[in-house]
Amino acid sequence: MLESLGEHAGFIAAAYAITFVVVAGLIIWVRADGKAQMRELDAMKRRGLRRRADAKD
Amino acid sequence: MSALFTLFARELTLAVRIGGGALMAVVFFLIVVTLMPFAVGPDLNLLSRIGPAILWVGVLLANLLALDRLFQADQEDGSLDLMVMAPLPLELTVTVKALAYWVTTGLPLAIAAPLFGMMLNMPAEALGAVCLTLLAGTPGLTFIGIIGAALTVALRRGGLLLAILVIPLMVPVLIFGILATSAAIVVTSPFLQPFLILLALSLGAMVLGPIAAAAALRFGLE
Amino acid sequence: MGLMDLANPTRFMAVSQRILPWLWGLAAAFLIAGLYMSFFLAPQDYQQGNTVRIMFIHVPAAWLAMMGYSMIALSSIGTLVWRHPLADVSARAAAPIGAAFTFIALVTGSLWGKPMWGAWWVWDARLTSVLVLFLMYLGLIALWRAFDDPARGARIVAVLALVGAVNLPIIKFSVEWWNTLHQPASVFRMGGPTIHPTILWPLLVMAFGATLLFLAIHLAAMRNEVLRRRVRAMQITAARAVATTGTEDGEPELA
Repeated sequence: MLESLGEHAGFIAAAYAITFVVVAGLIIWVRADGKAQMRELDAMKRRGLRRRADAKD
Repeated sequence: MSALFTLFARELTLAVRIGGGALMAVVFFLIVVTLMPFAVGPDLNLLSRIGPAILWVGVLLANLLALDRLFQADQEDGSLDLMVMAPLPLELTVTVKALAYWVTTGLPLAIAAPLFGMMLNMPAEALGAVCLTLLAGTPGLTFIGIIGAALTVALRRGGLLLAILVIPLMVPVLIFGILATSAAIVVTSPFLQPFLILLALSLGAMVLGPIAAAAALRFGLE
Repeated sequence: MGLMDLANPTRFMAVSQRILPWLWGLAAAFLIAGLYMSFFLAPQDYQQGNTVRIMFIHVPAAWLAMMGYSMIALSSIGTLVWRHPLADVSARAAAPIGAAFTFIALVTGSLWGKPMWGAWWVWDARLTSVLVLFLMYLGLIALWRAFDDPARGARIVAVLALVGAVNLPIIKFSVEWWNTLHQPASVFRMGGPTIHPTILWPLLVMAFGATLLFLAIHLAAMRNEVLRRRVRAMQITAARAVATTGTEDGEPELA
């Protein structure tokens, strides 16, 4: 498929590859960060800590 | 009104007494200008061609040097709290401080620029133009700079951050300052048009700068 | 449900959790369709050949770079006028995402320019404006990181974001003026009506898909930020409880 893109195939492939890496990095970061925060919250709940907002419910 | 004059006088006194204020920026400017021939070679034709650029970038950087202390010093000794609580509008206080900063930093730089321009073999009309455009443009640089000074007042190491925050905002002033200056060397391009835009940028900064800086100071002290 | 209901963080978390999977799915669908169209349906440009395919990511990325900053500026108004914590969460979450898309716009612009101009970087008006925008994103992120208390930095960064928003059109105008004096020709001619539909449609689909992707990442990042602040608030409560009673679950109500 790369050959069909002509003489500048490398540039096109590089542009798409870099975009893919950056976007994938963003998505992975946002998912991992979310998981880490959830873990942190769960750990605190297990230790018996509660949010004031939860206490009111 | 007299409160404003008192503040203005205080700022001038402080700037002159602490480390020779005005002189430091000019010396730094001279060092930047001296570095350039070492970097690009002593070719006088080349230097006179890029002279306006060297002078403008040098002034832009030298003007930033003391900016991070503008509000920080007042914060450390508590006078900033007094200024915020005083009946005087904070926007006016900030304007007076910025004007004093310009008188002790921007003005000496603009006066020194033609002297250093002679070292770069710039023609006489270009020397006049660079002085005139700097006089018109340095207030803009200062009033944009005080926004950064107010934003970073609460931070311990705000100096580098200040430069990163405000230099992108100074791009228009630099562009039109250089355009007006080079109009004096290259006869084909008009002088008045970029010069008037430069003045407009400075005036705009004089309105936006104090409002934004005063807001940032109020939020920073809470 | 009005917008004001969403402004409640707890409600926001519940609603965003339901919307988010749909947003991810829609974004993926549009991007896959857009990629198919831009590679197999869009023809080669008679001047630029296949390199025109870089445009299908460059232009959406540049658009998102602008949209990201507008989002930060609008959120900053929310922070300054209503002092709403979610507005700050939104601005803060948008900054790194906007910076990432600005980076993509710069890199793809450079990769597009090399075969067209023969240089990796040309001081073209558009590329230069995007570069200044990138610097402003970095400044915003740096200022946010300099405050250890997010609530304190919120309004200060909002001031900077709004000053930047006022300045951006001026910067764009000056850079264009500067550029026309120095070097006129530009590859990035995107005059609306002259663009051919076979190019325009893939571009629109890609741009829409990329916008959905931006919104999905933004929403997810906002959720993370809300959770991060909850964790922080609980840690402070716990630390204070330890300080006053000596036990972690002593008197959390004190804070």
